[in-house]
Amino acid sequence: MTDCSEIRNLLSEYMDDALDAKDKALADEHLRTCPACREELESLQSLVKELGAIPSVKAPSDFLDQLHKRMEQPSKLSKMRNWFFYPLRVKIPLQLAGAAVTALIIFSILPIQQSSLKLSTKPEQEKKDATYSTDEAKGMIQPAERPEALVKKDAATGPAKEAREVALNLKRQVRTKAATAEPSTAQAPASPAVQEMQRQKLAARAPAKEDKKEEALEKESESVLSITKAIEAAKGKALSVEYHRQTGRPEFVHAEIPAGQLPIFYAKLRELGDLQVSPETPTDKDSELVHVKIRLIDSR
Amino acid sequence: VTSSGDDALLIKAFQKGDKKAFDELVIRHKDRIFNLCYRFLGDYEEANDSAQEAFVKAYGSLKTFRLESAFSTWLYRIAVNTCKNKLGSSAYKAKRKTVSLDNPGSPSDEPSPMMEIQNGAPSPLARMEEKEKTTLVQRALDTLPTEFKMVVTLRDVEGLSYEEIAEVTGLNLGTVKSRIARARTDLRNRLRGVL
Repeated sequence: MTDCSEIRNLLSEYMDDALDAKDKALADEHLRTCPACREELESLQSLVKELGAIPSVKAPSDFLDQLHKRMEQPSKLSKMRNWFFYPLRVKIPLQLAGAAVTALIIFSILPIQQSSLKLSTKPEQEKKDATYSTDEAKGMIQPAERPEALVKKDAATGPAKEAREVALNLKRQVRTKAATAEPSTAQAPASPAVQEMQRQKLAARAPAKEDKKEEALEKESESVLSITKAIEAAKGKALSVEYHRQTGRPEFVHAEIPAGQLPIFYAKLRELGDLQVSPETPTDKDSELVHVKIRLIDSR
Repeated sequence: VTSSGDDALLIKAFQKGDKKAFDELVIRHKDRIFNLCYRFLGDYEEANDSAQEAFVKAYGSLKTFRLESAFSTWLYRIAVNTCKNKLGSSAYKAKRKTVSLDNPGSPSDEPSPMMEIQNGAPSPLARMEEKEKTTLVQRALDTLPTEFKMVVTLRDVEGLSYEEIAEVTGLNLGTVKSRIARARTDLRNRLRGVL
């Protein structure tokens, strides 16, 4: 007698008539005598009948039209593939043209960016130095500051004008002289830019009540005024005054001096103190304006 | 029923440059391919998409098709692979999830109104009972794991031979037989009391 489980493993193929002769004979023999396995076979046959009876679903009536539309629109993949297999004699010139256009755009943008960078750096720095807050200005005058000479070219000026930087170590007596002898006359010829700078500075310093500070401030203003005088004497124009962020003292005076007047200007400055001038490059036209940045060195 | 001899003639015509011959092949096979896709995917739109894709692929490869195997078997193989890819795609899985949340029943329970059903219709009561039974069988089939659903559908719904199923699925004959046996037993167990 064959085992039921062995026969049940054969039933699926038995139904499909896929067993070899030996196994089929074995199954036939067993099924004749085993009602349970016969029942098992009948239930499987019933299932297969049901599966075969599942209604078929038809394709939509416009299936072929849809297919035509789909085949007319090449897929992204096939577009990519087409490009990949494009003849090189067409593809390479196209790619080169693209690269040339890109290079053209880059090189036309680059100079614009560089020139705008040049223009933007310096004014920002000046603004930062000049517009310090009142709090920063308070109690910042410290008498012990070492003189320091710095001679360098001013990179911020426009390409048309020459730029110089000079360092001026002011003499005490000169400062005092300027303060006592000509306080009112010095005020008058100062250019509007300098007046504005001084006015701002004074306004910023207003809360500082201490006499010492007032005095120091006065002296600093005097030094600026004496330089403005020298600028006027050289037929130049004072542009702006930069104050030190921490000490609040005047640090730089910017001026425009006609190139021909530079020796006179330097002579005037030498009257005020020790002057250090960088080796000069001669200017072609005497009438051309030279941007001079005067660094003030306090030796008190 | 399509004859493979006619298919062979159409394929030769296509390979000689008669593009219209392909249309004829589509007309002859579209319903079976569509039905197969619908049985696998349980979604009308997805089935249509996959069936269309299968024919597009067939069009692309038909030039090099050698008449060693039947065109229908070859086409089934393309369709089965297309459906398998779709079943594995995240977009399809997300869609199935949404459908099953919206409607706890199987999405293939109710044929959409667009569907045309090939069915002879006896008395209303018998039709109702028959329909209910069919619904339950379909639901049970739908819950089978893909690898079992595929072989049993090809065998018992589509009527392919073991050898054809082996060719279509790429499985060896022994695996086809054992999977069909296992799928049938599983389905019968699920449908006890219905059959």
